[in-house]
Amino acid sequence: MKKLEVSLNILHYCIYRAHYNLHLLANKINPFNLIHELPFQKRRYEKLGIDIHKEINKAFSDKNNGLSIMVAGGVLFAVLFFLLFAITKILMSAINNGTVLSAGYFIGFGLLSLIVCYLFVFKNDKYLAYFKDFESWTKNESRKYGWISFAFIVAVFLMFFASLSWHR
Amino acid sequence: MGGLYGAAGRLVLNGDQWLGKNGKYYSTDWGGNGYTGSRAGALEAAGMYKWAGRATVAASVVIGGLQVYGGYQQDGGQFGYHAQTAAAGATGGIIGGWAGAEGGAATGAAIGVWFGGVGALPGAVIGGFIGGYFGSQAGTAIGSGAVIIIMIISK
Repeated sequence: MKKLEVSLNILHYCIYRAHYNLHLLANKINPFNLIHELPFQKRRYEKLGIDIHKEINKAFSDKNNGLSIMVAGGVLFAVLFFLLFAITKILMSAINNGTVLSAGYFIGFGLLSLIVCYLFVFKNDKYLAYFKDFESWTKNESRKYGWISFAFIVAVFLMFFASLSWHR
Repeated sequence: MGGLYGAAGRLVLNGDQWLGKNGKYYSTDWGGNGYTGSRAGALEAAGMYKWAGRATVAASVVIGGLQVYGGYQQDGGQFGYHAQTAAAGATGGIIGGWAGAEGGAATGAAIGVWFGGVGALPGAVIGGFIGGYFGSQAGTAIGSGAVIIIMIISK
């Protein structure tokens, strides 16, 4: 159980980091950021004493209520949902060829994913303690777990698509 | 939509500060009073927004995937027109929603600084919402439309 908890928190952390890094990358090519270069906008930011880019970045990076942590939670749930979907579909196809999963199954997958996410990651913001640990990762560790998480997510979605056409 | 809830959560609880009922920010070291409302209430509201945001993101991805599954059934167990359109629409919707929210948040923050109070954040809330919504709609239409056009051309 502890291994499952750590694995889920690693996945959650890596999704959070990937989303935030994607936002930082988007900052470099986001044409809407040119608005902040307009002279009257710049004067306004100076008057308010704010760095608008830092303000927007903060809205994404905040580990308690930021956009990236919220996206990470949603994606973690979706990954578990599709993992359950694919495993069930493959197993049922192996037993009874041509099985069609109904709404009842989807509700079941949703509930199970929610319970797992809640107990191991979301409950009392348990993930925050894990984040503290993960932030001390070396660059190599960070890269390793990032790639493992990415490969896992890709594998789940490939499994989902493969399960659609899975017949005995 | 997820962006809206996340940004709203940040509005209620911004770093080490929480938003009082009177529209002003206070340190999380202080518990609040009858005029400002309680810190615990603000923390609770921020938590609810976080859950709503997670739910919206999760629902977007899951519904997209289930539409692919529905399309696959409609195509008689083939990855045909309906499944391809649903897959492209779902992918386009996710990418469009993300890009729209990025653009909307930047624009909204720039507009928000011209209004009193907290300024940039409410602007980012509204901008992120509008951008994310229209970006998602446009992405879905572009994704689905691309499949239809490719199919027409290839016939």
